[in-house]
Amino acid sequence: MILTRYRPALLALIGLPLIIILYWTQQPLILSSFGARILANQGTTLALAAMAQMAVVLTRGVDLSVGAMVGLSNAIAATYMGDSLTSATLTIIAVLLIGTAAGALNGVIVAVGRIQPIIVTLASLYIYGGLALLVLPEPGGSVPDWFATGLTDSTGPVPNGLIFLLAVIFLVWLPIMSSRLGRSIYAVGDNEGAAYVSGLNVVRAKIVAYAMSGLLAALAGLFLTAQTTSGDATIGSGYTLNSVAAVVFGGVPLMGGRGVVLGPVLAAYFLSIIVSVLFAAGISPFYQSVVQGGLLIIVLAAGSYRALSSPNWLQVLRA
Amino acid sequence: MAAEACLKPWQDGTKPARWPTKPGPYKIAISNSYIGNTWRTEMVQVAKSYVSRPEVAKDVASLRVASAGNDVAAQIAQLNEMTLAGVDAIILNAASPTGLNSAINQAAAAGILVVSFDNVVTTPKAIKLNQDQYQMGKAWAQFVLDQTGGKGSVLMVRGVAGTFVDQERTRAAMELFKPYPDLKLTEVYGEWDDGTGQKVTANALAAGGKFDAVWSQGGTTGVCRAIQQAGQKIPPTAGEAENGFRKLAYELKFPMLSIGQSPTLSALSIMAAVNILKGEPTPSEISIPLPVVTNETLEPGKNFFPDLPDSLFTAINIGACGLEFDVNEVLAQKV
Repeated sequence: MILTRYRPALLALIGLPLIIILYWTQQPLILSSFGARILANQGTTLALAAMAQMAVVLTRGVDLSVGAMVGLSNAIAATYMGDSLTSATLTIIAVLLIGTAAGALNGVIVAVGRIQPIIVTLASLYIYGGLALLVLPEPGGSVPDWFATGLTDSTGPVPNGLIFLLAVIFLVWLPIMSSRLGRSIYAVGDNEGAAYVSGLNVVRAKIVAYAMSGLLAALAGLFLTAQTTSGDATIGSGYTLNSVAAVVFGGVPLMGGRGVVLGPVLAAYFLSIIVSVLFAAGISPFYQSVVQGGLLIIVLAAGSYRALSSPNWLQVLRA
Repeated sequence: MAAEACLKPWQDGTKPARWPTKPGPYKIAISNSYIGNTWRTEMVQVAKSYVSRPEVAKDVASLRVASAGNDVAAQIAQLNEMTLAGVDAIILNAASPTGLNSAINQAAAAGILVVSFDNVVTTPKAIKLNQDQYQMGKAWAQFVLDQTGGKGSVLMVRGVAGTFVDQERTRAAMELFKPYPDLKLTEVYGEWDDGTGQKVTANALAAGGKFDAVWSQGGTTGVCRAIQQAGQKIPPTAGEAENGFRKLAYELKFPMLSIGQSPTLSALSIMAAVNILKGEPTPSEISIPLPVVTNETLEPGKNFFPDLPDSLFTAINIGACGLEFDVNEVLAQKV
């Protein structure tokens, strides 16, 4: 039962330890506490962005504005946090509220306006990206030390980034997703018509999914701010497509309705570690992105081997 | 010696670099961001060519190069990996002036010297090495004034909007142009790119323009070609160090001034890193002299190359630094 449930995440579940072992053969120090902290910090932003993406993908949508929201949160946080506990706390709350509202706005336009998610979020990518530049036209800003070290340091041997991520999963993601509301998000993604005739509130489910996406993107932006200790309005652009890659690699089909959060989270760490492994292996910079993309395709192809080897093509087409 | 004329303090009062000395040879890593243009490729090639010289090779045990793209998170990962690998110095062309600061501070805390060049960073823990963009913009503007006598219409081809480099170069020019109300300035953004430069110049000409001088931050080959295509004579032009621009100026003999952001900044950063690790006095913020070429000094095979592509950046030799590179040897380096 548990095995079937987690099968979509299997690829990432196997892939992550493999890449870490591969990295370890190049660079034994990564298994030190310093190394673990580096690995955790490196992947946590993408892991949160991948969860943001997953919330929308579950409804059979895609959110191109994830990266822009990460950048907007980063710009706001670095600009307004200041040094005092009060200003920092207020800024954190504001960032989370703005993120949630920005996501919810996407959701309202998609669910009520019945416009394709890819178009809506492409438009909001420009809007949120533009707002970020208005807030912080040139890279700069600062954050309090306690905020930066609090999120990126280690508690004993455990990296704080990892604790932060687990807290988000257990306090935000799992409670919502295992509630009636969460199950209706899955149901809407699986078959919107069926969900509607069964009496589920399709509009509400979608808006909640997009709002969650915004909240998670804001959390990703906050973590990134702690990691970089500064703001840069354009910093988020890489997270949009990488979050989609992590979601797919993590076993969540773009057709929506299926998938467990473990997959995209592990996949996000996998993707962010590859860069370091390629560097440690001394691969030429020109080939690094080629190898990165190639590796992704090979891994995904290996994952669909099982489905493809079925003699019944109808089953393949459904998979 | 050469280092003093070459690795100059950024301004009066720039502090000398303080760093614990180490015996060589040193392990050096280059962390680059964007890799999609000729300049960045040449920058890497020049670095490799430099460390292959016997007098440099004895101080450099290894040189590894990585490019993260314009992705701050990837470059942080790269810097962390270099920190773990325990190199002696990191040469850095940053994707963000601020985003890498904490990773740099971490590297510095682990005893790794970080020298940032070209797109420099803001943290005081890193040594900074660059050419003075303000002086560059000013030299171009002075040329325009000399050629026009302070009146007439001038085409200003700016770079990428919102970047520090564009702001500095333009600020210098505007300060110089300000006392001359008879100068009519037309500003376009060429994004330091030949294609874009050509397009925006063509647009400016189509809007009824004829220019008495050009002030161009980059994409100068494209700018000149657009003027040629409009059937006009190329006016006096101050521009970057593109091979195509210099080829045209040599062939058509229009008055020119060519100053380039030099790909050799990478090699000079390695020089600075080695000097600092050896304990030789070196400033913590380093200004590299501008490589200037005029009609008089233009010389085929030396500072431009008729047989090589227009997109090549020719400013690989900086006289004051005593570094001479053979362009074919540089281009033969594998990236």
